[in-house]
Amino acid sequence: MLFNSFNFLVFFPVVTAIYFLLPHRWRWLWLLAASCFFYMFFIPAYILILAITILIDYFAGIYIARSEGKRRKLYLIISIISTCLVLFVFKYFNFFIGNINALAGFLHWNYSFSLLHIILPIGLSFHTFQSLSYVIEVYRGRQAPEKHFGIYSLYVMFYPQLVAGPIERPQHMLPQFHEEKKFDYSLAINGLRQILLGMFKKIFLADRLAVLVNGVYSNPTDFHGLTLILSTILFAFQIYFDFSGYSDIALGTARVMGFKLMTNFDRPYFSSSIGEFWHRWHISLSTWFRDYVYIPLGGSRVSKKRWTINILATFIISGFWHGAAWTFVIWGALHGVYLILEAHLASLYKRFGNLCGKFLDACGRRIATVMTFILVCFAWIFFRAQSLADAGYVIKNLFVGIGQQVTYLISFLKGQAGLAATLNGVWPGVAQIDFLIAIASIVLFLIFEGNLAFWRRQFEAHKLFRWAVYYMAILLIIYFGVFDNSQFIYFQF
Amino acid sequence: MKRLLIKILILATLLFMTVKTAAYLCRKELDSFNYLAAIVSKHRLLDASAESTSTSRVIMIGDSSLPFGFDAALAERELKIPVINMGLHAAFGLEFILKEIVSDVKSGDKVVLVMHYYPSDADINDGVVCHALDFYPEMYRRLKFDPFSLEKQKLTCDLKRTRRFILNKMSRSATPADMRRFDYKTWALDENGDFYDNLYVNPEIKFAPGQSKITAFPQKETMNLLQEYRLKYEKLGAKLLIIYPPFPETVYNDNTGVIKEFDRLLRQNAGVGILNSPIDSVFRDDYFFNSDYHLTSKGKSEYTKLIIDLLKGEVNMSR
Repeated sequence: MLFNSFNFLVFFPVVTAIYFLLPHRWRWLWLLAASCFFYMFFIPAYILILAITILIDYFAGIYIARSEGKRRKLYLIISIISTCLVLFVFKYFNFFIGNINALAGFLHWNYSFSLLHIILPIGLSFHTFQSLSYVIEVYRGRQAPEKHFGIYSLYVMFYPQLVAGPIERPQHMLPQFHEEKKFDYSLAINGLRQILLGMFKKIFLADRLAVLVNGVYSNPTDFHGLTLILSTILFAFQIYFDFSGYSDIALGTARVMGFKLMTNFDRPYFSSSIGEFWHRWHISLSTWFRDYVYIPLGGSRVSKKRWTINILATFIISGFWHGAAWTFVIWGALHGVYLILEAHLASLYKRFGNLCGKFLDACGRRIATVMTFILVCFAWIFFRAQSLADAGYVIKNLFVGIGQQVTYLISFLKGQAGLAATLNGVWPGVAQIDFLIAIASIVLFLIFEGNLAFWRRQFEAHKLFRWAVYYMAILLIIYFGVFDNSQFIYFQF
Repeated sequence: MKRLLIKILILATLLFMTVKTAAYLCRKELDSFNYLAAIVSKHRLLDASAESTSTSRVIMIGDSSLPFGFDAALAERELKIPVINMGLHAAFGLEFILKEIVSDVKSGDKVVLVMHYYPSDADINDGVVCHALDFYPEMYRRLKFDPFSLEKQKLTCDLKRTRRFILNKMSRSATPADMRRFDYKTWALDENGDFYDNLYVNPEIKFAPGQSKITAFPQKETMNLLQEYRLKYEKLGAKLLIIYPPFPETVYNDNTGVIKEFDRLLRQNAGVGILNSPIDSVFRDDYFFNSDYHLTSKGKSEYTKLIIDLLKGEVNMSR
């Protein structure tokens, strides 16, 4: 079931109301049933895949806790391999076979393995990682195995975060399922606000931007210069609104029922370095990779050379986690390279800051924020492009014909040309209204997220302002939102 | 929880009132020359034919290839039975196209569907349908909604109307009334609901063939709809037939695989009489006007001849 669907609008209040009406001892069952129903809206049979993963890791957790020494490790390895095997078959098998076939063709070998014609179960990477975090934590002795099979199943299947995270940790979630939750007015209000914010981001902002971005990225060879630059910037905002919107709805939905999920985004585009960006973007995944890949590899407490390899490996795996395509691998690798370069330049930054004093330091942060955004946008090209060839085309043509397009813009700014004519020159075929909404949404974003603390204070202090915001946000969603049941971008992972 | 529910109720009431008031105010802003307003005259033609004749009729339904490619008057003269061209716009979606005439169909009628390859999966709540319903509220009654669906449809259309009004105001997209030029306006249609041929001569509009790629997608819904409405028409004593739409040679060659697959699906699953094969409806590129499916005067004459020939047998059989 999609959060941005009419079904969810009915499902959520019904599930929540019955949840609070039921006695505590039955609530886990109700939530589990609701989560199964939620998941089965996509492809019902795929619930069996989820059931297999749950069964394996539930028993693995118990056996790991009971065992010692090599046997303990063996259970962990069996659990990790079997959980990852499901992921491999559904997500990566065709990628590997496709590459083997391509290589065989290149070497003129007469081999061709057939591909699997299966659809990727929605959110597979998310619940696989959540399951893995459980068995690893049990193995590390930081989490007691969950004996209650229903509660463990709920840990993997809890519907608000089932298909696109946040990827939770057992220490954080399992105790919450055991606690008795009472209806809390302020939590419910906060949760509903967050759901509204998420809906606004997804239906009004992300899906409106998608109209423009998809128009270019589905056929990039028809465009050049400023059109490619603008659509890439718009994609940066689209994916942020889309995914952080999903996270907001997930967090809000859980909060109304009294559950607290991990924060997944913290104004990432205001980061002044790539390192900071990864502390603010998809936090639940980056901390997962930090805890279960980067640190086990040695983290930063190793030689510089080894550290470089660790960072690169972590980010390449992270890219591969996002999708079984070379474009995602390069996207991950690019972020790894950024981080490595950033670490080498860090000392230079410090010297620069010391030399120029406070004023330049402040300017430096702004410049660094813009630079970081540009680097992130450049990497998004690989993330969004449908193939390496498309990504290559976009990069090669980012500045082709830009002079002429800038002339159009200058004419517009001088009042010598109208908006329609300017847009026709800069972005042929774009609907004026879509473009205006896109620009307005980014301005709105900068105003709101640029001064979040101020707006929060206003929001809390003035009832009328609060109601006006609710009212306007809902009206904008219903009048200008895109209601085509479009999936969230991260569902495909 | 009571406090929360009261607040939600207040907000919902406020929003509902806003939507209804805005929709009421925007109703005055309808452009009576809008192309979709032709739905009114088309239904009047259908009503008039029902009143004036007791014989069977040919009711052409489908997309814009009909107003652009079919001469209903000529067909009527040749077939010697009333021929009504109800085709208007593919974006109405197949469900609406099939449903809009159900309450008008009589025993003996031949309902001939001409639809795009891989027809729009737009459902009945889509904005284009709402726009047409704004021009022709009578349609709400003819569509025979159940009470819940009717309210849902009305609310959806209220939202779409206000949204359209705001967007039009923002983009100032009012088209000047000029009956000499081609435009998607009611004045481009003659009394039979077909486009005036002389409007096709417009040097500003050039059809560039070979640019369209049809994207195939699962057609389960299309097949289900066709089966469902074939049975509904049959219950009323009418017959649903399909004729393939006019298509430019170059575009057909680029999409042969997809079109053949569509034809296979249709013959295998729809259970509807299909009177020709896709290749029969392929014409020279220069027979097309501003897009695939839209014929020039010459193309229109050829396609009308084809339709007449295909229908002769059917019409004679029922005599």
